[in-house]
Amino acid sequence: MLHDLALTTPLLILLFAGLFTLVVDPFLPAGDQSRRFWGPFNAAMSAAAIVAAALMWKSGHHEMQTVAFGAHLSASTYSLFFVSLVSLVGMMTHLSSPKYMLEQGVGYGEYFAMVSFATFGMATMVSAESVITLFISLEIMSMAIYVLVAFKRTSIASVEAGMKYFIMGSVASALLLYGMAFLYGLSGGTTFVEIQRALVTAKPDQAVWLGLAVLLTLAAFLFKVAAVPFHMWAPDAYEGAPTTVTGFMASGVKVAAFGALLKILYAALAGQGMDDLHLPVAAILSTVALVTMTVGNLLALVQKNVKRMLAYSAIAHAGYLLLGTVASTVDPVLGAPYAVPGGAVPFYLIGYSLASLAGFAALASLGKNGEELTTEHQLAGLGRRYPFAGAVLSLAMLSLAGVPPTLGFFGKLELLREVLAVDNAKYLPHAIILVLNSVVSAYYYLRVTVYVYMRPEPKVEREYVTEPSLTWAMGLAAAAILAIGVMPGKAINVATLSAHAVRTGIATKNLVHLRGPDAPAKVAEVAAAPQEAPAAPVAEPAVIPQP
Amino acid sequence: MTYNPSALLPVIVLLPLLGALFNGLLGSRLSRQTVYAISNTTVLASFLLSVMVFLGLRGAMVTAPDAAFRYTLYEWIAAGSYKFEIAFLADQLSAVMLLVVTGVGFLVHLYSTGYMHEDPGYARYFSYLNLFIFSMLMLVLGKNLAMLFIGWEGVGACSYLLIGFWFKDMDKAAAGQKAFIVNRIGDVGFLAAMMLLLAYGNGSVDFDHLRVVFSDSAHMLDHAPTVTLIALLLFVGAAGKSAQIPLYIWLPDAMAGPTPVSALIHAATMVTAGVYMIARMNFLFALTPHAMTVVMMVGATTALVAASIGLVQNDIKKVLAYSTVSQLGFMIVAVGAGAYAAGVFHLMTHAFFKGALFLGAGAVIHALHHEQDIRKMGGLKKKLPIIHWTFLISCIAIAGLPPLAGFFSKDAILAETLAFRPNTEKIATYYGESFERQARVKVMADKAPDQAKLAVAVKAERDAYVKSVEDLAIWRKVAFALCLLAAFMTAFYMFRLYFLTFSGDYRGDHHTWDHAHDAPWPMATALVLLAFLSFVGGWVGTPFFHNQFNFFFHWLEPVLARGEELLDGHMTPALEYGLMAASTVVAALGVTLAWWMYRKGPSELGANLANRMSFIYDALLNKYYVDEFYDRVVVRPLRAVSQAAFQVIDRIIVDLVMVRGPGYVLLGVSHAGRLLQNGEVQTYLVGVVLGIALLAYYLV
Amino acid sequence: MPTELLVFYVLAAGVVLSTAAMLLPPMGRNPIHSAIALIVSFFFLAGIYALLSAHLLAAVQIIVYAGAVMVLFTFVIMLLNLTPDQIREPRITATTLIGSGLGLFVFGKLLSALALASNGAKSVDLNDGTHATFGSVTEVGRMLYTTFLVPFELVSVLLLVAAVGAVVLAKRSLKYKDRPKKEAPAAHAVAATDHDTHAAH
Repeated sequence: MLHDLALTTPLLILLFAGLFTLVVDPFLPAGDQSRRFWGPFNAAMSAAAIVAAALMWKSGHHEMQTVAFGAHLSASTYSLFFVSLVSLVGMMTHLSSPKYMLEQGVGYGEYFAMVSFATFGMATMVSAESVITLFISLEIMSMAIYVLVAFKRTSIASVEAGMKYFIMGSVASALLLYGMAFLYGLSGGTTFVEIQRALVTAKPDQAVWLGLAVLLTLAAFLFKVAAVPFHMWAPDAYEGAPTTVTGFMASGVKVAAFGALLKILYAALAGQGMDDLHLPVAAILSTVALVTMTVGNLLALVQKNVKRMLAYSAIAHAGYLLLGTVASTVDPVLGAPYAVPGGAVPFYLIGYSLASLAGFAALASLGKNGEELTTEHQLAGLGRRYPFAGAVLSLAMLSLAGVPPTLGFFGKLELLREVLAVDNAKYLPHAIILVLNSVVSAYYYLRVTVYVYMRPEPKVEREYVTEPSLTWAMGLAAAAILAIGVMPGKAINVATLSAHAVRTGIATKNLVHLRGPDAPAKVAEVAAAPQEAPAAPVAEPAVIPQP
Repeated sequence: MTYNPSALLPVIVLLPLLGALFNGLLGSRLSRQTVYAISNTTVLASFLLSVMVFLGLRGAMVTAPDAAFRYTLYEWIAAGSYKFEIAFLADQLSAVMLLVVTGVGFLVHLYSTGYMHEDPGYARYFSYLNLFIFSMLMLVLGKNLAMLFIGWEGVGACSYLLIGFWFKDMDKAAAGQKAFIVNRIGDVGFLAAMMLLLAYGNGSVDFDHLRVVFSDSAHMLDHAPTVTLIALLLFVGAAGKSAQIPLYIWLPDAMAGPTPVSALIHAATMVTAGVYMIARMNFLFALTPHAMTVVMMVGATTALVAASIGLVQNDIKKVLAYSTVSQLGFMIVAVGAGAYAAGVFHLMTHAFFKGALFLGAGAVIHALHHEQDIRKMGGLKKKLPIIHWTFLISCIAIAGLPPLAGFFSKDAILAETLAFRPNTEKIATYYGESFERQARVKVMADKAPDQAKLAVAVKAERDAYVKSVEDLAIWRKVAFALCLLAAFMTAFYMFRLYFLTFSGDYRGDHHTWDHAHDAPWPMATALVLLAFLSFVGGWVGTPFFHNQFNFFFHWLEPVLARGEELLDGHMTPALEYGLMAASTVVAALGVTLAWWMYRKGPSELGANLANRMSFIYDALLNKYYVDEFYDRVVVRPLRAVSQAAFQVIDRIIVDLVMVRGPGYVLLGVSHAGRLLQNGEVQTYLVGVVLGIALLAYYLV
Repeated sequence: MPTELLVFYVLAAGVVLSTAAMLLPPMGRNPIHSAIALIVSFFFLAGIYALLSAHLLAAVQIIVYAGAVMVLFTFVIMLLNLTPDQIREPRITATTLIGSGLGLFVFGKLLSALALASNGAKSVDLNDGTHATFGSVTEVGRMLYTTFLVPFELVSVLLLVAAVGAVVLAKRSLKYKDRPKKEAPAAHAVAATDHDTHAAH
């Protein structure tokens, strides 16, 4: 029990941060100013979570020990990577928020508690090893974010955005739950290990159930990552939400959703590559990816409000990432036919979330006195009046556009490389469309820098939100974009290592005895065996031979 | 004694970067003289170091004929199976480019100190110029395709910055934007090719590695269509950078930048990057005669089309711009025909004489207070003697009259285009396994896998391929004819330009005439040196005595070995000297015609001709309406699409069907927009249901 | 067996009918009537759960949903105090037509898939040894505190977040600095459209 708890240290730190903020907040001196303390405090706690995750990574928790609490949670390298990334997103949000939220008139302690809870939800979601844990943690994340989107209650837009997101999100939750019920019915278990075991040995007459399960699960995830045509909630929600929350959503939700999607695709559903399911999952994902990136980019072209433009840009990036999900490689431990995702998606997520965070932090500096000066014209003169924010915003745009030597460029490069490596460049047309899309996107990203630097300053005086922690957030994100852009090797390696560990040790061992030259016979044997095999509690897998 | 100057390579590259950073960051606080000194010294130092590298390479080649210097500065990415290094490679080809870039680059820097002495933006200008040299050096010294690409993007960015240098002028900013966008289209091809090479080339795009990959048929890249696709994609990139049809439109507009920039970037160095890249990748291109033929024909067409446009232009820089496009066409013909060395040779001589021409034109413009219309010039011979003489020498050189530089390089291109043909035997051997695989697939389909049948099928595959390659031979003759015609036009329009500018009577206003002054010493020095090089530069590559003294071609042999190995055909002396005579006659004819028509300024003869054939004349003057065509066919539809999918209908109806009443359309459009994103959750949910329905259709 | 089947059909018909009554006029017109129909539907559902020997779930369904949740629903409806003219008449628009068409398609797909999948499926005898304790309070409690401990604890966090969120959003101590002049719920909807269409001009 204690051991299990120790494995969830990063999650517990995040949970503690939220609870502590909530409990102690009433005892702080009255007045909004003192609430600014929670920003740095929660950021420090997020940083502690990152440190804990990094230490656990270093200490090399592999094999069996990574699974905690009856295989509902894990601390595999995969989980730890994503936990660190969402904690980083949380940390940046905490750093960039305090003064901004105060200026918006809603600088309450609950805000920071909610961000911490949402981060906790994301971290749990990417650590989840069972569908039920995945669902509940997704709900924790979503619930906290609904509240955060509507947090600026003085603004109709904010409340409306929160309400819309809530209604739409509830539909997605229902879909996910329904899909997971089918998965349970199919496999007799809720953990990914049991589901994958059951699917590997599945009988053909279960195909219909599988189709239903995949349909509903996929729909829910496509909604969460805002893929076309499930994307329509995104522009309104992004535009209406307070800017820091938009940054949090754009980066955090995407990281968590893709982290969980990859895991459920590879560690639960398609263990032997997408074709294993005998469903056109890869075709669907890649097609949706193309439509999503194209629609996102085309609609982003005509937006005048940078927040709304970034919402469409986030949709486009979801398209790029979805294409990355089909780029699989052979599982280094199990060998063919078992597949694991490549490192492209995790690596791309680092670049994408850092650029989003930097961009939205810079935009937050325009939120003085409850205003949101985020149309293009209101950006004019930023480069001269607040050079730091202008430079960070421009850098973020360059990275999102994929201009070398920023991190965004290497993200795209790595993504393209892995996508092309699949099946003798089977996705060459997709890759070309992706490149064309990124050419189109350069236009609207560069337009922001044009407004920041090359348009005459407006006559009106303008004040900007300035505070040390916001400066730190911008500086850290920008430095990371450049530093990892100059030395991407290490980050790519880490991302690849984590992606290859999408299956926990227990799952791997459970599958080991199903492969080999006599695998078909064994598969048949397991399939023929009566109910007990799948129903055996996973915490004590009796079927594991010594390697 | 030989020494190893590998460690000089990063210094050569980084010196201009230092200059750029220094001038860029502190330039506004420094005096004019300091900025000049820093920018010129860094480039001069790079040039001197380049000479040392060149000499070192010569020394090293005594013992090892294929010597090259390599220096790895830093391992950028090493992840999994692939890696990128910041590494430099100085082989024979790079060394030539190195000398051209730093040499001409230095002369242009020197010239600029005279040319820009009144401009307040001098620090920014020199910072960009140094940055350009840095990027160009990255491009030519890069040890792998990724480094080349970084330099490629860098020179593009510098070009964009310098074209739009006077960005307060909206037209000039627009020209910069046009260059940027057209080049991005080319970059898509380049990137796609690089991705394919990464995917197939075992995760490395290192030139040494790729050369091995393409020499040994035992790997994945032995499938002819794939190689052709990669080559063509690379050529799309080259066509963008080197201004070939259909992507040449940006170069004439790029003349909006300061004239020294045109000389350096848009004549001597950057635009030749495509030629350099193809010569560098000769081992790939030589394997695919089909792609080579496309390259050659695009080059020949460009040479002719651009030359014909140049016949009637009246802006001194526009004539030179189209001349550049045309000469680039010649180089592309050369590398497309397998005459890589000739292409690089022409690249070098062109850098000399076109550099001199542009700088001369800049000096004229400078002298005449920014007058660019040659109809308002004339008789400047007496007023501007230095400019006149250097301009005349370069004109003779570009026209292709012996014994100046242009003659030898152009002659080499023409001769080798006609004489070479692909060595089908060796190429087919390279694809051997691929033929076998294809044959196996077909035989298996017959369900009778016996060896005899398989052998027949393999032979059939191979014969089909060989035949398809041999069918391409006719295109060489076509390309040769087009080039000969283009050479004639070149001689004509260059001397038309010369006579209209320098001979006859002055046709502008007298105030300008009185104030006209010859080039100040920095400009004069650069002009004289470049004119000298245009005179003698061709002598290193003469074909006399069976190429005995053809130092240039021998020098490049180690780099081009694989490409030339896959070629057949040799020159007979009869063909050689016959062609020489022919091209001299053609050039002399062009010069004579120009002399006859324009020696005394714009003649009635020319005007009559223009009236008589006004259809052709207008087409030429308006550059075949290509810009208008692109605007109609590419730019406008694209813009319409990007106007968020719904205005497309509006555009088509208004522009094409010419139906009046866009009000209705707009109404429909906004309604469609409302359907799309109307802020109502109900509609958004319909989107979700649509998605589920589509998924259900495919999954259940 | 036939008895069970008979009971199931009765209960299932009850669920479908009461849900339909909740949505469609005449009951669907009045929010209170709809709420009552929903309670009826919950009762029928509880019956189905009991039939599957999920006794605890059946009890929870009645106590929590039909009891507590519905009381809250009714309170909210009464607090809103909607008059008939505030309730929008259902209109048939392109959106509703397309939406219901697609919805019917999906429903049909699901139905046919379920029919296909359950064809020849074996039924499980809930009275045999392995399943004897299935759905009992003991069994559910044991599962919640052993196998499903983590999800169970996570739900507490979820409830906390929801509760705090509700309080935050309902808190009344706000200084309305930039209260919009017009309190029309569609205000932003129009704005959203403007962004997308204006840009086209």
